[in-house]
Formats: sequence, C-alpha cells, structure tokens
Amino acid sequence: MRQAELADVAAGLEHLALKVVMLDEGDVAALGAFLAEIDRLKPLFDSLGEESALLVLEHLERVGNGLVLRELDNAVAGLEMLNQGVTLLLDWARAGDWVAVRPAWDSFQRLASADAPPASLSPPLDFVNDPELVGGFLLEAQEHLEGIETRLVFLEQNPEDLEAINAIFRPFHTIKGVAGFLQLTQIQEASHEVESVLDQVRSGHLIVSPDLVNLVLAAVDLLKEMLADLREALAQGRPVTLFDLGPLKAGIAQVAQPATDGPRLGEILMDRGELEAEELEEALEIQRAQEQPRPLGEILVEDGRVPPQKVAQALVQQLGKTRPASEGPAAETVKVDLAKVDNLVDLMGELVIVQSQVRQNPQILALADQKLTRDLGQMARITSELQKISMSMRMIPIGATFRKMVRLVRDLSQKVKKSVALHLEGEDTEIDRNMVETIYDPLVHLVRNAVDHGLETPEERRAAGKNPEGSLWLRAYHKGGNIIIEIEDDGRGLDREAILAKARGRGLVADGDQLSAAQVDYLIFQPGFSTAPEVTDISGRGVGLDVVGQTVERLRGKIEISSHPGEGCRLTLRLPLTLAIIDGMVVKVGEERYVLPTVGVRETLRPSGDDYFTVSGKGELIRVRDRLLPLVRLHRLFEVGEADISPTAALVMVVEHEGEQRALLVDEILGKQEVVIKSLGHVFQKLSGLAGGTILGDGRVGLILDLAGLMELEKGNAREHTRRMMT
Amino acid sequence: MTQAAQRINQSGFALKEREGKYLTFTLAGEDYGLEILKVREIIGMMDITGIPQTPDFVKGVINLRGRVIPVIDLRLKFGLPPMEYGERTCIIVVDAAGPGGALQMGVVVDAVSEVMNVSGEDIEPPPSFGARIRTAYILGIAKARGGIKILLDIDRVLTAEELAVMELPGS
Repeated sequence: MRQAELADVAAGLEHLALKVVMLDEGDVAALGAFLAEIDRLKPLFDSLGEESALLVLEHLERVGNGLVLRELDNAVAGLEMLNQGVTLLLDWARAGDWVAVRPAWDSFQRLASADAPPASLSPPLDFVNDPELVGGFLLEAQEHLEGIETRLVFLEQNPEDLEAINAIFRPFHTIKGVAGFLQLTQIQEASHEVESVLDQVRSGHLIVSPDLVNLVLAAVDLLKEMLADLREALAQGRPVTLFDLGPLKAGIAQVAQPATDGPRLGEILMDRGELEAEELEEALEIQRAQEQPRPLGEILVEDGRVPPQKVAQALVQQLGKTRPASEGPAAETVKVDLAKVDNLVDLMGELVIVQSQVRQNPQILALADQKLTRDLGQMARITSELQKISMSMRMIPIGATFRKMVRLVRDLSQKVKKSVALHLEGEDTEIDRNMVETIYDPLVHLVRNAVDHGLETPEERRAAGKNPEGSLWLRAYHKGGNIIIEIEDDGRGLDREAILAKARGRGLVADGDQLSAAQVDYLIFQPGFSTAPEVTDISGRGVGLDVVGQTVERLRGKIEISSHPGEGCRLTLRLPLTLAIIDGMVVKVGEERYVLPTVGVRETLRPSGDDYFTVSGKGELIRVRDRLLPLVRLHRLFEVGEADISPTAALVMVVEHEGEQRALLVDEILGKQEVVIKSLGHVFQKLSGLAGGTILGDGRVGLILDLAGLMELEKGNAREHTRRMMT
Repeated sequence: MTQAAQRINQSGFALKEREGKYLTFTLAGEDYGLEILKVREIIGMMDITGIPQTPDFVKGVINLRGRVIPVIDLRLKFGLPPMEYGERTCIIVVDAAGPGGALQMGVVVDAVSEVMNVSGEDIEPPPSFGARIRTAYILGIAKARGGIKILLDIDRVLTAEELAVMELPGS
C-alpha cells in the first residue's frame, strides 16, 4: 500500500523536478507553475503521513513564495535550495526512507537554515557544524581576503577599472555565500555590507574614493580578525566571539551617501533664474543658524522665495546630474565590431525563419512524431531566445537621448519666454543603436516645434484657462513589436485652417482638393512647410518637418498625428524594433512574389463587381464600405502577370501611408511571415517602390515593397498617362 | 632579345599588363574572356527574381548563400539574340569595381569553356568599329589557337548607372 503511494509521490515529484530546472529568478510564470505543482502534491504527502517530507515541501513553498514576492535576499541561493529540496524529496520517495538520503538531507538543512526564517523547520535529525567544511572555508576565505587587498591598491590607482571592482566584488560575494551556508552570521553580515557598497560602485552609483578604499580595507581587517577567532573557536570547541559591526556599518553609511560633487540645489535654482544670489545667501544664512539644518529647498519654499514646483524640478535636475546615466558601465563588457553584431543579428534572423520553415514543412508535420515535435518546439524556443539576445546586443536605452532634450527644452523655453515642464517617461526603453543616432535629429526637431509652435505663452495659456506652465511629454515604450516614441504637448494643437491656407499658397494642395482632417495634419511633413506666421530662429530655418518624415520613413517607421485644437498635439513615432526584420505579408502577382510590410496593410478583401468603378481620366476606384479608394494594379506597375485582370478575380489590399489609402490589386496572399531585409545593393537603390529583398522559403529572392515609393510611382504613372492623353 | 622584339614589347606595353589567366566562355558562337581574378565562382542557372523598372538585360536578383546579388544577361546586354536557358547556361559571379564601390554580380553566359593563359604578345588592342559598336568594355583581342577571344573589361561592361536606368513601364 505504502509502496504504491510512494510511487505516486515519486511520479509527482518528477514533475516538480522538471519544473524546478526551468525556474529562473524573476520568472514568475515558471515559479507559479512550480508552486501549483507543490499544491497538487500536498494532499498526497498528507495521506502518507510523512511529517518531515511535508515540512520540506512546505519549506519549498515558502521559499518559492519568497522568490515570487522578491522577499529573499539571495535569490540564487533560494533557487539552489529549491533544487536541492526537490532532489532530496525525490531521492527519499525513491528510497522509501530517510536513512538512505542522510547526506542530501544534511546539505538541505544547511541551506534551509541559512536562507529561510529560522525555526521554520523542526529537524527530525540533528545538525552538526561540519569542522571539515569550516576548515575549508577558513582557508578559502583567507586567500580571498589577501587577493582583495592587492586588488584594492590597484583599484585606488585605477578607480575607473570595472574589472578591478568586479574582482573585489566577487570574492566578497563568495565569502558571504559560504558563510551563510555555514551559519557564520557575523561574517556573512560583514561581507554582505561590503558587497552591497561594491555593488553600488559597480552599477555606477558610487565612485571609487580613497575613503571607500579605506573602508573596504578596514572591512578586510575585520573579517581577518573574525576568521582568526573562528579558527580558534573551532580548535577549542568554543562558540565564536561576537564582533561589533557598528563602526563598519557606520562607515558604509557615510561612504554610501549620494555623491555631492553634483551641482548644489542653490546653484541649479540660480541657473534656472529662480533665485538671486543674495536670496540664496540669505537662505544659506538661515540654514547655518539652525541647530538641525533643514534642507535648503524647504527653507526657500517656506520663505516663499521659490514655488515648491520649481524646487522639485531643480531637485530632479540635481538627481539627474548626480546620478550617472543608467547605461553607464554597470557590468563587464566586451567591445565588438558593430559589423559583426549586425551580421550575427542578420544570421539569427535567417535561422529563426529557416527553423519555422522546417517546422511547417508538410512532410515533417505528416510524421506526427511526438518526440520530433517536442524537439522542434525546444529548438524554436532556443532560436527565438538567441535572436532576442543577439538583437539586444545592439540595443541601448533611449534615456541618454531623452536627457539631451532636457537642456534643449530649458534653453528654448527661456528664449521664447514660455514656461515648459518636460516629463520623460520610459527612459529605459531599449532601442537599436543604429536607430538612436538617426532618430536624434528628428526628435530635436519635434521638440523644438512643440516648444516653439505647439505651446502657448503663459499669457495666452492663462487667457485660455490653462496652467500657465505648459507641459511637454517625451515617452518611449514597446508595443506590438514596435518601439513607440511620443512627443505630446498640451498646447494649442495644430491649426488646420492655417496649414491648409499655407499649403494652398505653396501649391501643395490644389484649390479644389478636399482633404480629410488627417490629411491636413500630415501636410506639415511636406517639404518646405512651416506653420509659424513669422520665421523664428528656432524652428523656422528652412528645413522643416519633412526631414523628420523622411527619416522616420527611412527607418521604416510611421508618424501618427493626433491633434485636438486648444488641448494639445501628440506625435507618435512608430519605429520597428530592429532594422533587420519586418513583419510582412507575402503576396503573389503573376509569377512573382512580393512582401508587403504588415504595418501598412489595413485590410484585405475581394471586391464584388458593384464595388468597382472607373472614372475617366482619374482611373479606377474600389469601394471599401463607404470610402472610394484609387485602385493600384501591381501587375501594370511592375509589368508582371495579367495587366487587365478583373478586380473581382483578384484580391484588394487596402494599404495606408501617411493617412492616404490605396487599394492594391494582387493575385493572392501566400501568408504572413517575418522576413529579414536584404539590401538590393546600391545599383537598385534608386528604384522606387522597392524597400529591399528577402530570401523566401524556397530560397528565391522576394522583393519587399515600399508603400511610399509605390504611391509616388503610381502618381507619376497617372500623370504620365494624363500627359499622353492630352497630347 | 632582338631589337624588333623590343619594339613590339614597347608598343604592347599597355597590353602586357593585361596578360594573365582568363576564364573563357561563349556567347552566340563568339568566344569571350574574363580576367580570372575578377571571377568569384561559376554557378548553374537558378531562379532569378525579376526587378521591375529595369532594362531587359537586367534579369533580376538571385540568392547567393544569403546574399542578394544582381544578375545580367550578357547576350541581351550586347544586343545578341536571346536564347532559352539550357543545361550549359551558367552564371559567372564576378567582382566588378563600379563608381559606387565594389559590386558583386552574376553574368549569364551560354557556356563556360576553359581557363587559359594569355601572354602579352598575343593581345591586340581593341579594334575600332566606328560608332556602331561600343568597344569601351573590350580590354583587347587575344589570338589563340586559330581563333580569337574577346577580352572583357567587366568593370566597364556595366556601370552602376546603367543598371539603375529607370525605364518607366510602357515607355
């Protein structure tokens, strides 16, 4: 009876063991699956009446919960503990008793007592501190400390050397880990304190100062004393002496103070023109006179010298300056030629595509082999993970670019005498490094524009019942495989009438043309367009927003405009995550296959005869619900297949570019897939309508269509056609 | 060395530089040669993806181990009658130097013959045919075994501008 139940438990534990190897710190989904498995096992254990096993299981559950809630100091040790615990239970269930698994139980015990709240486990077997293990630790720790000393001296001379910091950080980490394992709590605590300071240095929050080096040296001395005491205690069989960690902790607290070599609050406020030098002096006088000096900002606000918001802004600025940029050296890095990385990303893209082709191969599907399916699934996971990693190698946070705008906005707003609060969101959003350079200028343009044209002067804003201080938001986030950058202001919004009048004046729009609101908005991206009535030296310098439009287009991105008169305007830049891969629809026209970027495709339909109209001179139209869209025949444009195919026998793809829609006629849709973009080389660069090539499933090259170029081409053709009709 | 021989050498100095190994191939019954140093590889006929808005001698692009390279048909380029591609039709992949930088491209020829050594004294300067035939892309004419081989200057056969010529459909 018991044998059968144990076998059940063992089977359940095997499941658990599978889950536990998949665990990763921060992977809440896997942890959740693990905990669910434990829940399932509990009743089984209950029915067995094995109290120790149940205790272990409950302990694993606690650690698992701790990991999910991020309550554990040392997540890695926690994971290791889960691993050991499951192994232990599995061994026990297979053996049927505890005697056989005694060593495993001992090591689990040690981990459990080191990492979880004490007394969480009433040990069925007693725990002896292993003298041999402690002896080994003593030797190892001694070596580590000696190594640390020499490296510290080197670090003092080369404070920028990250590798040196890491070389000091790691041995402390090891000492802490082993000490914890051996329940040498004081040694663990001391090394933990030093480790956390070093971690701050590693992440760039602290700089290496002589004080810091002295502190770490003192910590090394203290640890040496502790080790000597431990050796003695071990030899004499007495308990270890308690050391006073107070001075060390105090020293760490002092060194870990935020670096003060950034600008002082008063200086920032003076810089921003919020405070006069005399006022600052007075405030500092007050501060000095106080017994317990209060922060300068508080004093200034209390005296009514500076409004609270201004102080807050200055504080933000101060923090921004003091804190090194988040992309600063935080981990060990290797410099790699960008071309190599690009090549790698390219090849990874190919690999992902090839593996998906293999998986979808009908012959392989027909095999219906379970193991093969599982292995293929595993391969897919690994390749997509590899792809992610290789892409991330090219990614950098957008924060640095955003922060450059802070200064820009400040200078600009002073120049145009507007008061602007800049809000940055999503600075950690990562973006392809090739893209970040390209996107900088357009961003500057858009920010300039928002400050110069978008936002009103404080008087105008007051008159409109708004906060005299305008707000400008810069946001970045990932969405649906794209990176989105938003520039939003709460200004006056786009003046559509002025835009239209101007466009007419410049001949961009013919008098008779009726444009939708969206089309009018997009006019600002037309070459040679500037909406400010007078040319200012800020944004009216000839190069208009058309450059922005072109740049974004070149990056295969899109700009969306959402403007509400009187309330503000938001420009959304939708950029692909990577320059190398796009999501595309593969379509067939005649014998050729083309790839349409999915971003531009709105819908697909097969028109009925009633929806097809011809208009003399203006060409063919397709009715899509209540709209009439010009028909573009890819067949004719590219001279492939049947030039006069009836639209009812083909498919219409509604494509959109800059608010303009077209009905693109194709023969059929072959599928949707990610494709790696290959350049067609400089010889074909000037061809409009083509964005590049890609290798399709059968190894042939498929051409990727470029909607903007296609529309241009089609317009050119129409004009050509009209011209020929006239002559 | 006799004086006569020296004289020949002097006059043929420019052509001397052109001696070396050539890959020879046939096009509509004529023999041509390509400097072997320019040839990357010879591949059999494969699927070519046509590129719209290009002259007809631009056959399109092929996938050469993950790279996309353009392919031109030399028959069409030289105004020779087109021929169905067959068993012996080859694509010679060459490294041409163009004004826009190095350019790898495929050249469709009827058949590849051999690699032969051409010595300087066997090379004649390109003849002048007047305005009827462009000879700018001919390095010279090599006399060999009773026949002649037209040595091509592949860098000049196709200039990038030529490849990128835009032909509006219908015009």
